[in-house]
Amino acid sequence: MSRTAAPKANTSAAGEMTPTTSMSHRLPQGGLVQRDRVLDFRFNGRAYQGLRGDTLASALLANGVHLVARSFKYHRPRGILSAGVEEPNALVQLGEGASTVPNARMTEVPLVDGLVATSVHASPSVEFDLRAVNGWFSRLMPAGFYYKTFMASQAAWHFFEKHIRRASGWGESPRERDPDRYDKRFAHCDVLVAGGGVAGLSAALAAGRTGARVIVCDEQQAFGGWLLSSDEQVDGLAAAQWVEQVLDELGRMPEVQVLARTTAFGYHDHDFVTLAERRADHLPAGERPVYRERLWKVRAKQVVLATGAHERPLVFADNDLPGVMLAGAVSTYVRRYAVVPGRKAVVFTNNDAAYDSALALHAAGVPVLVVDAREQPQGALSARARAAGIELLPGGVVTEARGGKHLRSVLIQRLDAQGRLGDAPREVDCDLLAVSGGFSPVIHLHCQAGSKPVWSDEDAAFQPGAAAQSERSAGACRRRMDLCDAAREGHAAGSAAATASGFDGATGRAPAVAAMAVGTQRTLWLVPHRAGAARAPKQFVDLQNDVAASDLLLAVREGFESIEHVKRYTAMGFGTDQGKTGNINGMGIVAQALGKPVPQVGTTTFRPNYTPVSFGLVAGLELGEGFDPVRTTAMHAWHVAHDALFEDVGQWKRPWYYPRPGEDLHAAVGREVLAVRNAVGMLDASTLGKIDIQGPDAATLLNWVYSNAWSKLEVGKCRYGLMLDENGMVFDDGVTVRLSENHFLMHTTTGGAARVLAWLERWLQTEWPHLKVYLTSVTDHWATTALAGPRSRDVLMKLCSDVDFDDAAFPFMSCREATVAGVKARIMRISFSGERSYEVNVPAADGARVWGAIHEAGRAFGITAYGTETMHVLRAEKGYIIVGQDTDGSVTPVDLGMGGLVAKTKDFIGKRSLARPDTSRSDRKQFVGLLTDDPGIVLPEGAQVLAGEPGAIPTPMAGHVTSSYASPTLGRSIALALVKGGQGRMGERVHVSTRDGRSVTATIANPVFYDPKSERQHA
Amino acid sequence: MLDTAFLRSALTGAPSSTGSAPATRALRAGWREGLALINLRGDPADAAFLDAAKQALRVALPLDAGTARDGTALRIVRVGPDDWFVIGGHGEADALMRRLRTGLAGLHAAATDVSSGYTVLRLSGDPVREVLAQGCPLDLHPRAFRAGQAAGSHWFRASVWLWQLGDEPGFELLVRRSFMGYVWLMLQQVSAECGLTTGS
Repeated sequence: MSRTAAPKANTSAAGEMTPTTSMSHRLPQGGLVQRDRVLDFRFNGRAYQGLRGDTLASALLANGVHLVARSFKYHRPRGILSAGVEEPNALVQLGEGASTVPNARMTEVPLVDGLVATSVHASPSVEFDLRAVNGWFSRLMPAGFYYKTFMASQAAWHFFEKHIRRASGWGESPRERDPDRYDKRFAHCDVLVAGGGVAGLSAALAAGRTGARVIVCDEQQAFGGWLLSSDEQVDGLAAAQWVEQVLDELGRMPEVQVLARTTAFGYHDHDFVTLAERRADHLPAGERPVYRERLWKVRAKQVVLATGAHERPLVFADNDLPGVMLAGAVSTYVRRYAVVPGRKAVVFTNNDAAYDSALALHAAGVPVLVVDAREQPQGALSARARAAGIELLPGGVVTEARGGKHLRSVLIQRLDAQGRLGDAPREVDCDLLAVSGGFSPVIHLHCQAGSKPVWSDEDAAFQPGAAAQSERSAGACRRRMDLCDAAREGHAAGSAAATASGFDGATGRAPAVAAMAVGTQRTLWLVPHRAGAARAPKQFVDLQNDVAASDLLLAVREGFESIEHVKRYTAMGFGTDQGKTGNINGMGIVAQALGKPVPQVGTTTFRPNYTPVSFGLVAGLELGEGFDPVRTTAMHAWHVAHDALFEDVGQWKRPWYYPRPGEDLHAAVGREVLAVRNAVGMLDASTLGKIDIQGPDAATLLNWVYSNAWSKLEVGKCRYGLMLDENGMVFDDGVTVRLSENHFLMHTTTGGAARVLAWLERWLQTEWPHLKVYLTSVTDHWATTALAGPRSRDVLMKLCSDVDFDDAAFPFMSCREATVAGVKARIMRISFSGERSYEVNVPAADGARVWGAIHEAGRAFGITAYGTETMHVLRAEKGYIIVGQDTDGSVTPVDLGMGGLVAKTKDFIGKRSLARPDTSRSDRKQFVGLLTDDPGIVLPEGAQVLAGEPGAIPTPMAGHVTSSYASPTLGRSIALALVKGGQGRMGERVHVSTRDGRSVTATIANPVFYDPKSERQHA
Repeated sequence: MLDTAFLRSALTGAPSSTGSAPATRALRAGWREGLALINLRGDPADAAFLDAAKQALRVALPLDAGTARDGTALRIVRVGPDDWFVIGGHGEADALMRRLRTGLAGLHAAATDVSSGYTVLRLSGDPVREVLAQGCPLDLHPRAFRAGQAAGSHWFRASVWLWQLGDEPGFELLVRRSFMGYVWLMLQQVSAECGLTTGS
């Protein structure tokens, strides 16, 4: 909730009153902030006030707060360096509790009422940080210190690690589940414009006017980029007003999408660009949309990169003191936020652009001295500064900043053309030092696209090279530092992109800005210090990771020559800012030390993401229940209503067992198993994969993909088949029924359905296109109720009168078309339990009704619904395998004792592999049963079967347990196992190791534990 | 685990209780259950097959990629070079199957009744394209996708076939039956801002 500033009653809590006057550094007028919208916020526990339109950084500066952070390694005091995305220092923990955001850059945090932020990485406070003692010993902790010291011995590292881990790191991850929601959008456009400064807006206007579909995004709170910090005019309007007008025109174009607060953070293959839109955090709590952030997955025909440039700091002694700020940021704070970051300023620059900050400060009444490394400053801005009477010291440098927790003064010396320092330094008092070491074009997206940047000696910067994808750069990211050039180039790029995507309509004229000479630049990587780099106070290159010039020079002395190695040795560029301000300076210093041109030292690789992206955004809505599809059968609601517990099988929810009150798994399964063995049970078997196979070559296909023969299967009969891969290993199994001469229905395992269909299609489409066969997945079409048990026929006969259930008329492994409970059905007499069993298939739309009717009809016979656990026990008692549990891709039919299913007289996939020496040797792991000596012990699945006596180390292994259950039917435990040469070892006793290190003795047995002659399923 | 009350309503097409947003801006969604759905396979280079199919269906099969064709009572969606979905009215599956089986007798073709295997989800209202774009990577902009076109894609992790209804912002999605609960769950998730009213 925000409120107006005046008139205002006294507030209750002490220290929370008189808002505007407390903003001691706010200018009385100007800026793009709403002065009538005063916002309360807290930083490090203290209450402050700011204005709507502020960032957290500008609001703190308005309150005269500079010390906002402690550095990573030495815990030195740090202030706000920049006004944007490149900020290395001013990281905060934003918010509290579950929604907290670690390492937010203050310079990008929109101020909202009630905002709470704390410094990261300072204990107990930024004002008094205990670990600042690290700084006193910093000379003892050079680059590579941790590695050399603590990794010297493993034992030492284990001791030191926990202390080092606690001392390092930045913000804290939330510990609770994130309560916010995030969503994603796929989007398509003709032209994507990344960046909404003068170049980007000009490009979007040009492309939008042609009628092309355009998306334009900008990462800042407002569009305009540098225009919002500038006092130039565009098309005769104040820059900020021109931005308003452009947004209005874009807003009236139906095919243009304008995305504010949206960062283009990844440029991937095929012009696929990912954008992160922050939709909520800038709004007061009550006005936030449902989705906090949105991930845009944009496929663009053409991309215009108008990503601007980042100003570089200069590297001199103690250049990290609060009060040292990038010159462009100073202009931004003064003009955009109406905040003066200091009362007495020095500007230190090697280029002309920094004079803008001197002009801004001068206009705001702040005394300024400009120290320009150039002997003869050239350019329009320095000329303006001279005309304005601003004091100027050409050919000079700031060699050292001085102060405790804030800048107090600077030491200035002359620097001659050969890089030699002049006479004794002159100390100048100031509380603000605006620095500019030139500009680094933001080529991140360009490079992520696969393009190679090229080095420009003139500006000492990498600029975009030849485009590897459909992208073109415009504006400051192509070193067009003059607004006039940037506007023209943006307009041209937008027009060209529209044309390239098929829109060549009128693009109007380019926005007009007065041209301005940008002047020259003096390359200055490291400002010399009279004490030399090694002895001078630290000259920081990477502020976030506390990497100083001395560290880089040490790396060079130790033999590191590639920038990639130097980076890894010193950790330069490894922070959350990825070295946006420091990397190029670091490369320059290394190149200078090696006496090589910068490009020869190497270019760093730019990888997505441009800025950190929240995990919530990556996850989107696919969380919790929506993480993966939950597939349910037509009878699912019945299972839920009957208290089933569920097991995940692939994506399916299958009833696991149906506990009655007080029953555990063991009790419920015992009851369910005995019901099937003694009366009748019913199982939802709908999830099995079902493939409809039609065509004159259907039988040939089956012959080739199954190991057993199919040609002679009679119409109306079912057959079990084993499917092998090319290596002869079992990869699926199931029953297939012949519905007519050229029409089969194949069943696959539940988890294998999609894999088997793809496998069959692959063979049909790539190797056997001459086969006349069509496959159709009918898995979801059929709902299947499996009735198993001696009374199953009695139940079915109550519901079905058009089939002769006599065993002679409807024998085991046959199929009948029927009407069950009034629904057209297909009944298959097949069994996975060893009992008399019928599987009733009806269209899924009738599945629940028929299931219910069967359950009702079965009441008189004690019908019991059973789940997958009981199904597993029943089949294990019969020694039936489950592919994927008893097999693991290394098991042949012969290994399973199913050699009888390997046809000798026909060809099939995997046949040749079965003749290899390895697959035909006799000591392969073979499928057997295991009976423990103690019938009460249920072996753990996966337990190893020992080859010899326990205790020997190492102990050779002979195999492992694949399935293991307590068998209610047999009243004892049973297990299935793969054991080397097992089929020839029946009756042998073996040791099976258990997890606690002990072993259990068991006897190798026939895997068919129950009804070995299989009489029950026939009668 | 899925909320079962919701699931039952999703599976039966009964109205859900979530629809509270203004009807004009809200997404409208409803299952069209019980439609006849036949998967028809055959060789498009075989004139006899095309002719027999046309006789049986009383409308010619669409042969261009990504197209659907509306007959007087049928919609036929081409889902592959030799693969079509024939969609007819409630209870028409048996009659359609009889006509196809008779007409295609002796030809290498396959007609399979999959009426229970899929359900048609109808989505309409202003936000429909936005809602689809949350989970479907296709470009459904009017310049890129029009009535008469059909496409196979995915919506979140459910594979779907979809086509546009007339020129209205309305689409139909062919969803595998076992994915109905999942699709409805995601529909509720994606419509949290625009609102959801049920019923087609």
